[in-house]
Parts: sequence; structure tokens; C-alpha cells
Amino acid sequence: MPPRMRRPRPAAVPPPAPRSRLRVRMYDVGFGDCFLLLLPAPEGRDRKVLIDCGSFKAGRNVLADVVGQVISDVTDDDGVARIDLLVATHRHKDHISGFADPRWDKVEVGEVWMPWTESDEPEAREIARAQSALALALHSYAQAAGAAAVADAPVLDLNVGTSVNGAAMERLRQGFRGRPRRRYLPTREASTRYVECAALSDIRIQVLGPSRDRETIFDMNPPSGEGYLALLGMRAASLAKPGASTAPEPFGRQWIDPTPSRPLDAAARSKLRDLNRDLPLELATALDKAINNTSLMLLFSIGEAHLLFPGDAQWGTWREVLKDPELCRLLEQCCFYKVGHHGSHNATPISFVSRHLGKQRQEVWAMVPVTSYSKWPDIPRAPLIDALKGKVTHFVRSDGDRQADAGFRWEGDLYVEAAIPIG
Amino acid sequence: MTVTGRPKGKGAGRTPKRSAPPPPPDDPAGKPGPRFASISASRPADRRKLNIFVSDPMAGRRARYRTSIDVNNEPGLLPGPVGALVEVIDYDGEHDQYYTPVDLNEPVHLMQGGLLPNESDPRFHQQMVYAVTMKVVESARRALGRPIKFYRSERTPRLRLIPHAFYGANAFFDPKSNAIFFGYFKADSDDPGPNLPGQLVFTCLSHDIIAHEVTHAIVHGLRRYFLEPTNHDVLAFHEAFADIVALFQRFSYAPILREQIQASKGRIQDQAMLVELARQFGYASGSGQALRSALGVKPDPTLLGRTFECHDRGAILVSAVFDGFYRTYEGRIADLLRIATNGSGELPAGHLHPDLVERVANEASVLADHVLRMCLRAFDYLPPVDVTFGDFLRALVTADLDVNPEDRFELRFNMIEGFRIRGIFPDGVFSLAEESLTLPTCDDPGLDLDPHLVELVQLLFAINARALDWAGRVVQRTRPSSDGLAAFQSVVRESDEDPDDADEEGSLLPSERGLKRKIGQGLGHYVSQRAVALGFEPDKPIAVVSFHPVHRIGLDQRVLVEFVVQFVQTDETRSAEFGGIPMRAGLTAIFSADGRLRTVVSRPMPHPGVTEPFAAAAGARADRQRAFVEAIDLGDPRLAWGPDGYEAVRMKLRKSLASLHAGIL
Repeated sequence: MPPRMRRPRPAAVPPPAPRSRLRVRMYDVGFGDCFLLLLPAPEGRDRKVLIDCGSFKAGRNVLADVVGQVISDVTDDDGVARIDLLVATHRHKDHISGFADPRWDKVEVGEVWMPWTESDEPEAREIARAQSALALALHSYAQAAGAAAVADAPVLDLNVGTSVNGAAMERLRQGFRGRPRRRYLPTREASTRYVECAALSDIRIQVLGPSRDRETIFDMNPPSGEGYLALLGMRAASLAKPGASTAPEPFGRQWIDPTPSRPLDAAARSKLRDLNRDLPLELATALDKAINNTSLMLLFSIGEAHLLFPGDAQWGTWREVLKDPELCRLLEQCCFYKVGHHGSHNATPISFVSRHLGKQRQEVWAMVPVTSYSKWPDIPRAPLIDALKGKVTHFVRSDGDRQADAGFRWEGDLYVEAAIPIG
Repeated sequence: MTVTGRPKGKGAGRTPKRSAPPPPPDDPAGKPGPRFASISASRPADRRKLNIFVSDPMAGRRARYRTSIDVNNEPGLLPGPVGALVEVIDYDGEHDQYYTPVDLNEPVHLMQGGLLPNESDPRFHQQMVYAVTMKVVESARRALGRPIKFYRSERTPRLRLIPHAFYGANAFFDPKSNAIFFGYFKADSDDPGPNLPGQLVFTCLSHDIIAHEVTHAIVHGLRRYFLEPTNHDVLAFHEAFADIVALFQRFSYAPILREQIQASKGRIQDQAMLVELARQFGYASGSGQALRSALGVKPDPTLLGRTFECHDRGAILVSAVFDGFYRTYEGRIADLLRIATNGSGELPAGHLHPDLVERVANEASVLADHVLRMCLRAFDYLPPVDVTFGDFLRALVTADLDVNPEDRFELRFNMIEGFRIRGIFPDGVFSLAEESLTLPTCDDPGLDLDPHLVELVQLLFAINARALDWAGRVVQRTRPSSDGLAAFQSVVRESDEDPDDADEEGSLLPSERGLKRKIGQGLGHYVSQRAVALGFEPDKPIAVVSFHPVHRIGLDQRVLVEFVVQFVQTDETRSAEFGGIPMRAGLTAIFSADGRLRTVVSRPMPHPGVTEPFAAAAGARADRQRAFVEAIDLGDPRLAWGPDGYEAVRMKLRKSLASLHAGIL
């Protein structure tokens, strides 16, 4: 066996006057998230942090092309693709589907971070059980309802997908080269929000979510109990065979009155008929919220620069963060904000934008990974985007116009990059 | 002024078109025969006994949780049952079929208090829904001092009760259909609660669920805008009030209390004993769950500030009222305990003396009834829109202070304490002393009613008094009538205003209707003349939402007569801003019998000409409503995924979701 060859690393050339910059790359995956952080090392190669890689709906690029690009972007001069830290914020398709690609097997990963809800702890299993029971029920419903119904309510598709993201989840848990260390955060024992990453010792990383607070855990639990699931099943059955009920008859046939003298009016009867019409959509939305609230929310601090990556955390997680005055001060010092949940209203609290964002910073970057989709006209949410633009100095959408802001560098349609001073 | 002495020249006693009845007993020209006949021999029963389950059907397997209650014997009750106020329609929407209606007038049912409790016979279900509904309506009528009406439209003159409306673990009141829909479902095989796994559970067999939903319907009749979510308290108040009524209704059944007290083996002063009874409340229902966790735990004044789901928040209010009840109960039985223990306070082990049990149960049930009345009475002092828990506390204290100034039971004091330790404070009240909680009295003669309007209102008082007059009703019943239902609804026929309307039956009687129309017009004129002084925007319509006379009798037999009016002004232009709920200004005005304005509860809204003292309150209110909508938006994922146009009507849709699929989002 030939000795393993490794090229000597080029001698570090200290950058000249303008102090070093951290690069944040947002890939255009369509409706999904994929971020690469490139951190200049004191010496040697850049350190690389990848946060999510998934797409629900293609935009200008197909996901496979983005995956190829990311892998080539993290490939060192020795031809080995290396990622120091890989973060999968939560198990939604639009954040992890890219990891189903077998090319990741060649990539050497230092650590894989996932939310604690993906761990083997009993509480985590309980949440996962409730979430997948609902996902499965929605899956059966979607099958009965047919493609048209699902196309009408893509949130159904997005969340049914969580039960079939198997290959991606499998790789995140078991795969990659280099026997990466798996960490499910925050740990139960953690006494501090800070988490050390071996390869990133000069960077302070705080885990802001998902919380282990009981109230917030409640927000990660979708409605459970067979009640709703049974109703969903019945709804599916009635779609397959209209008019026939699968519910048990409450009384013997002898009690049926074929000629009621005082029938119920048509309006009330139709009210009853439509009672559960929106139930599938409501449940899918509830599951979506539950899963979003498991998002790993991270705050990176490099020198004076603070970067906030909230995943798709919704109000449950945010509520916890905004309750803490110390964290609020840090949020005010953030110079980078990854806009949560593709710019929808429920992942960026109004009070965060109006009170904290950009308060103690001259220059602030915000990036929103999104592509417009006719089914969800409110994503991204126009008033939120306007408010953000008023608070930050550099704002960009992943499907945006290349000429829009000089504070970013575009690489074709593949990605857009911000260079943030960290000196 | 009397009803019959109308200065209109029309005959006082209108000649009935049907068979000529004997003259009224007070007619001096009448023949002596009917006048002195004993009515007790020919008079139909006042009350009708009906069997019910007192708790959920599963607990009902134990014989002691079945009981029979008595309700008004409505003459002419039709199969269904269909009465004057409510009708049971046993339509099953899941299977699109009807079930045979019960005829409670069949001799076999008359003999044994209706059907015996039986889960497999839909007719028992119908009977129970009817019986509990009527019991709750009766309690409300007594406490409010006026008849309860469910008339909504010609199409839906009565509240419809649909005992097996749909498949699902829920029951709900739908104001649009004027109906309560009860669901049935199979108990979870994983988590059946107290039920057998896989067994069918009927929400219409739960006393507490029926009482809860009927209360929603009653509250909606009293305050139609309390289903509009304009702050965190509004829907929670609806839920809480429904639970309060259901809970204390159950506590007023002495046999159950006796059972529980005996079972407690001497822990009669232990709060856990009563809590235990309360905890059996509405087992399979969602609100029951919130309630169980709220009762009997150490109150946390910060809880209110972070609890926003309407059932959970409502449970805080219920526990405050329950706390007031419990503290009072404790005080009331202290003497009994001393007597029973020769002053030692230590009850002997083993069974309690039945006399002691009887007396203690009696105290608790009288007190429960008293709490129920106190809470219902408070309604007249609530604003027409945008209610808060603090408003309820103020109303509770004001209403009770009027009729029970001495607070002999110390119930009022204990209630205030129950609210205080849960951090429930009214806006702008800095001390929870009784005086500062009482609504401020109004002293502006310019706001009194005009004399001609007062005359009309006093006429209404007389009509109302007769409608409540039991003796009159007894006389009424002894006379032949082809339509017992119409007769039961009201007894006033003599003061006919408009003979052309005389043959209309079913709803308001013509005389009353004509009078009410006039009073309504008079009040409309009254308020438009004083719009600015009452905090409304001038030159914009102000609706007279309701007005009614109130007759109340206090513990010391003190009688209170008042005239309560609700005015509402609506600004539809701002609906979109508040998610489909328009901004409304509201005012509840309480007049004394002679037309003087005693007090007002006002909810002004901002408008260009608003003046102090309304301006500040109006601005604060708009801000609060905006902040409320924002807070709800934060936690609502549907705003992102929702269907087209969701945003514009989101508050409305959230409300309907809360009533049907509570807890999903």
C-alpha cells in the first residue's frame, strides 16, 4: 500500500491591511436552505461549516448540481472534500434532502450536529414518535386524496416527506468519511450554551435552540392521540368512497327513523358535512410547526462578528431566546442574520426585527434562501422583507438579482456570497 | 302604572279568539265558581322528573352517579323533545340518518322520570340533553331575573340540540346554526382515559359537556360579540364561564355531594375533597383537562401573563372562582365541625354521621347555587365588547354589592381574594378593595332617560314582572289552551299594542313586540343625542344591541330593579387590520327604575372627535387589540401555509378552529 501522500500545506500568508473576512455562501437550491461558511484559518486551509443542504422545489438549479458544487467548493488542494462542521438544523426535506446524494460518502466530515430531538433520549423518541405517527397518517391521507389534493396543499407534501427522508437521515446519522463525531444539541447536561468544536477552537458557538424547556417541548409535539389520526383516516376513506362512513354505528338499526317529522335544515347538515374538510391541512401545518421548532438555532461569534443561523425556528424557540436579556444584547450585535423559514412571517418575530436587529451594528447582512412559489404567496412575506431591508445594510434573496447589492458576490446563478469582516 | 290600565282606550282584557276561558280570578265581576275552585286538583304538574347521568357515562356505571333532576313541566312538549326554548333533533351527520325521538309524555316515561339511564337507547340521550339543558337555562333565568331566549330568526326560533351530530371527540355551539352539535367517538385504544379502550363515547351523555355548551349558547345570547377575539381574555372568558356554570351546576346536586362527603371519610374540610369532585368534571373533553390541572394547585400570579390558549387561560379564571367558593365553604362549615367534634375539630375515624353529611352537603350545595347566581348576575355589568377577566371581577363585585351589601357569607371577599392571588386585576384599578372595584356611579342628569321613555320602560318592567310571576303561570295553566307552547312562553296578552299582530305565535308576543320596538327607537334617539358624552363617534350609527329590565332579590330579600342597555358602534373599515374582526365601541348602561343613569361600562374606540375621558382608553384599546393580533400571528403557522385570503380573515378562522379542533395549532 502506497504511503498516504499529503501535500504540505502552503505557508500561511497573512492577509494584508484589511483584516480577514469570513465568507458566507448561500446556494440557490430553490425552496430550501444550503449555506457554507468559509473561515480563514490562522494558518493553512480555510475551515468549512456547512449548514443544511436540501430543497423542496427546484429554482434556477437542480439540487444535484448544487450538491456537486458544494462538494467541489469544500475540496481542498489535496483533492479531498472536507467539512469541519456539518449542521442539519432539522429534518425537513428543504433542509436535508441533498444529503441523500451518494457523493457525500466521499466527503470527510469532522462533526455532525443535529438537534437533540434526533437523539436516542426517551423525550426525543417520544417527540419523534408523535411526529412520525402524524406524518404517516398524513401520508396515507395524501395517497387516498391523490396527487391533485396534495398539489393544492404542498405543506402536506413537505411534511409527508419527513417520513421518507430516510436516506438523508441515515447518512446524517451514520454516513460520511472520517468517522465524524455526532452531537445532538443542546445536551441534557449542558450547563452553558457554548459548544466547543475541535476544528473551530477560535470560534464561539452558542446553541440557542431547540430548548429543553417543557413549554417549548410542547411546541415540538404535534397533536397526538388517535382521535385526530382516526379522523384523518376516515377523511381519507370518505374520499375514496364518498357517502360511506367508516365510523361505527352508534345504535342498533331499529332506532333509525326513516321519516323524521322535524328534519334538520340543509345549512346545518352541510355544516356537519364540511366539519373536517380542513383537518388534513391543519394537521399538516401543525406538524410543520412542530418540526420547525426542533430547529437547531446557532449563534457563531468570531472576534467581534456574531452570526445568527436560526434554522426554521418558530415562535416557541424564539420566545425562549427573546426572554433572555443577555441573548437579546447579543442579537443586537449580530452582523449576519439567516432569515428563518424562507422569509415567512412565523420564523422571524416582529420584535426581533424592530427592537434588536442591527441595533448595535454599522453593517449588517441578511440572507433569505427562497424562491417564489404561487401556492404560498406569503412566502417570503412582503412586509417582513421590507422591514428587514430597513434594518440591515445588505439584503439578498437566493433567487435574487445579481446586480441588486454590491455587498455580495454572485457566482453565476449558483450562489451568492457575503464577506464579513471578523477582525 | 299597570299593564291593564293603558291610556289607549282599548279593552283591557282582549277577547280571546278561542273557547272563552273563565274570567281571571281577580276580576270582581267573575262568577264565584271558578274563582274559588281549588286549582291544586286540576292543575298539571309544575315539574317533570327526568333521569340523567351526573358525570360521564363510564362513571355512570356506578349507580350513584345517576340521578333524577326536575325541570319545568312544559305543557305541550312534543316528541324530540321539542319545547318552547329548545328542540332536540337527533340527526347523525356521519351516517346521514335520524334516530327515533323520545316522547316524554308517554305514560311509561311519566311514571318513572323518563327513560332509565341507558347508553344504547338514543331516546335516553335525547332526554338527558334536554333535561340538563333546561336545568341550566332555569338556573340562568333565576339568576338573571329574566327569561332566557334562544330565538334567533324565524328559521331557528329555538336552540337546536343535536346529540349525535358528528363523529369526533368534541361538542360545540355554532351560533350561525343556533345549534349545539355533540360528537361521539371511539375511545383511544392507547389512552382511553377512564373509558374502556375502543368503546363508543357520547359527549351528549356528559352532564358537564352539555352544561358547558348550553352556557356558551346562553352567553352568546347575552353578549353576541364575546365570540370575537379582540384580546387574550375574550374567548377564554367564554370557555371559563361555560365551565363555571357547568361546575357549579353539578355542585348544586346535593345527592352527589353527600356521596362525596361521606367517601371523604372526615376530610370534609380538605380542599382535595371538593377538588376531587371538580376533577371528575368533563372527563373526555379538552377543557376538562385544563381545568383539572388548574384546580387545587398553588396559585401562581405569573401564570396569567404566559398562558394564552383559551382553555388554559380560562381555567385560571375558573380556579379563581372555585377558590372563592372553597374558602367560603370552609368558613360556612366551621361551626358544624365544632358541633360535631365537641370543639376538638378532630372528626372520628370511620363513617360520618349522616346528619352531619346532610348538613355539610346542604351548605356546599346552597353555596354553589349562590356562586352560580353571583356569576350570572355579573353579566349585566359587563361591557358589550372586548371583555377582560378584570371586567368580570368588577362586574361580580358591583352586582353583588347592590343586592348583598353585608356579604354575610364573605363570598364576595373570598372571590376577590381568589382573583387577587392569581394576578387578575381590572385595568386602571390599583386597589382590590371593594370600593375601588365597584363601577363608578354616574351623576349627570343630562344622561338620564327622557320621561316618555321612562314610561315605556316601566311598562316593560310590568310585563317582565308578570312573565316571572309564578302564580300567574299557575292560573294560566289551569285554563284550556289549544297551544300550550305559546301560552308558556309568556303570559302577557292583555296589553295588546297592535291587534294585527295578535295571531302571531311562537316568538315575542305582539304587545311586547310593539312596546319593545318603541323603546328601541327611543333608546336609539337617546344615544345619538348624547353620542359624544357617551364616548361614541357622532354621525355614525350606534346600534341598540339589547335592553332588558332586571329584577333581583338579594340574600336579605332586598329587591333591585334596573334597566340595562347595550349600545355598540362598529367600524368595519379597520377589520383587515385586526384579521377580519371589526373594531367596535361598546357601552353598557345601567339605569335605575326611574330612568336615572346609575353607571356605565364603556369600551370606546378611537375616532377623530374622541374626547377625554374616552380618548386615552380608546387609544390603549386599539393598541392592545393590535398587539393581541400580532401575538397570535407569531404562533400561527397557517399564516405562512394558509389558503388564499387567510390573512384578511385569520382571527375569524382561528376562532372557529378553536371551537372545533382545539389544540391542533
